[in-house]
Amino acid sequence: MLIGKPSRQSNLERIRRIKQSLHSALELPEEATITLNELACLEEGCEPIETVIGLLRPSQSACQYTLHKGVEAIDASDLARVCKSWGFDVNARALSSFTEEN
Amino acid sequence: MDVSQKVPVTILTGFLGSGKTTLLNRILSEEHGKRISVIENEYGEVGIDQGLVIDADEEIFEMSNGCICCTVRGDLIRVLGNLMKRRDKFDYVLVETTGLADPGPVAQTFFMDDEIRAEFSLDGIVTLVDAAHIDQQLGRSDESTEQVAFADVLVLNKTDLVNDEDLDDVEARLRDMNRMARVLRSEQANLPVDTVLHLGAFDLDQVLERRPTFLEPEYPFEWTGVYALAPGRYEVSLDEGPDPTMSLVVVPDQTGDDAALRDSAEWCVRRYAEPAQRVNPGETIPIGQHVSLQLDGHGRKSFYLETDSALEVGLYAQHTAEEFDLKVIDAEGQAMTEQAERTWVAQHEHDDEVGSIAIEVDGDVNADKLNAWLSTLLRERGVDIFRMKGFISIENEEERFVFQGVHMLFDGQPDRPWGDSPRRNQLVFIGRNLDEAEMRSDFESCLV
Repeated sequence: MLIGKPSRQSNLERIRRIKQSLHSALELPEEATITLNELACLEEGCEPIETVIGLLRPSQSACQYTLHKGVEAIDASDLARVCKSWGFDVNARALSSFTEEN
Repeated sequence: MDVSQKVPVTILTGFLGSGKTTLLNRILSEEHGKRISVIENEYGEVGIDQGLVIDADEEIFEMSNGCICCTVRGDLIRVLGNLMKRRDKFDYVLVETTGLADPGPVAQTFFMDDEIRAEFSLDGIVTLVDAAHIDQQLGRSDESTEQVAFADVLVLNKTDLVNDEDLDDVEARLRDMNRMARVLRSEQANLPVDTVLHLGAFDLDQVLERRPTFLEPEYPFEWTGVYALAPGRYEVSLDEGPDPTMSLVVVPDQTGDDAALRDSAEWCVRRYAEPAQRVNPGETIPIGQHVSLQLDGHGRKSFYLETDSALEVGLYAQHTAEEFDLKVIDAEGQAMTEQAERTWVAQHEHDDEVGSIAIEVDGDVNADKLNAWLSTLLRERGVDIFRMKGFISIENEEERFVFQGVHMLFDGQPDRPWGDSPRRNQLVFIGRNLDEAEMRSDFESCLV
């Protein structure tokens, strides 16, 4: 969020699809939650826009991964990277629904 | 971002025994026509006429959001996610926290996920305090302090258990910690629902409407009267008052418009910081100097003002004219009428480390400079900033920008057009050990 810059309209449909794809690819239980936040960053060395994806599960530490791109540019290989960083061995086929819908 | 399309959310917080459940039951049982979904910690899921009550166990997660860290409630994200699927069943959400909860993670949850941010808007935070015990609780518990600091509405409950004088003291302490909040008193949380729902947390206008001087800085003086003097000698007559002395600065060439008064007020703050010269009854008051009028003893006292030429002067007095029945009397013995008069927010001691900072500055800001400053401020001091909200006048923008935030996270949008109203920036920060002078100066450096 930057003051004075027009607030981008979130692509909610795509955000929901990313969350659902991760949830199903990781075979997460119902009580697990995926969060997604696309944000502007002013820090030196950071991309101007990034997407922070989080995994919250009861009694476990939160997992997070930052993709240095906006939601619109995220593809299946990005999501595979997210899963890998969280310690899940997910092959591209598990994310095929996301790939196909793109 | 169209806030009106979003489901408003009120967070109801308060220490153990403060009356949250009583208020909640009152909200749910009153005929108000709203379908409220309640998310709470202490009960299981119960179907009730006006909505849903959903149990949530506190799952607090540390998360980073870009370059900043914050805590969110995982259970709340999940419950809100489920509620989104039943969007047609309710039109308001109320989140009740446990008595020991820090409201921060609950409030931050509404800023940390794009889907939640698109569907819900944090309408306000209501904190109940037990009037009989809040004084001790504030000294012993960080949670109760934070609950007070986060509030848009502070309900001073169980007032029947405390005498009026103690109530006034407690209210003054709460106001000192959180100048932004509206303080309501109740005996058994018996408040109209409209006073705690649809608060419009973004809306600083409401606060300003209730207390127009709320954003003003504190000054070492309480009152100014402007007088037009012809050449001659004038008597400044004061009756007995609350103190044996009163500080005063007489400003020369003072006009009565508000901008000029505010300019002189800043000048007077510097004069007030200088040692005061004692002026005894019968003596002449030097113009442009900090003086201490000696008022000890019974009866009215007279001091004098002298000028060789026509001169408008502003008397910046430590107390209001009423308190000492201050009169300026001309050579004919007639009490003069002020050309203009103004009161100021008086300076007082701040006992708690949690307090409020209000910044009000005319002019436009450079958006890039402002974002750079806010980014650094929130990264370095966000943990200590509980709430912030305000209006910004951004260079080359026709509409004012309205924002609110919790710790390091904030959200905002263009609001109504400025039109003919003066372009002015109004910001409030509530936090721990904030440096007002530094924040004010840093903000002013963002002005165009």
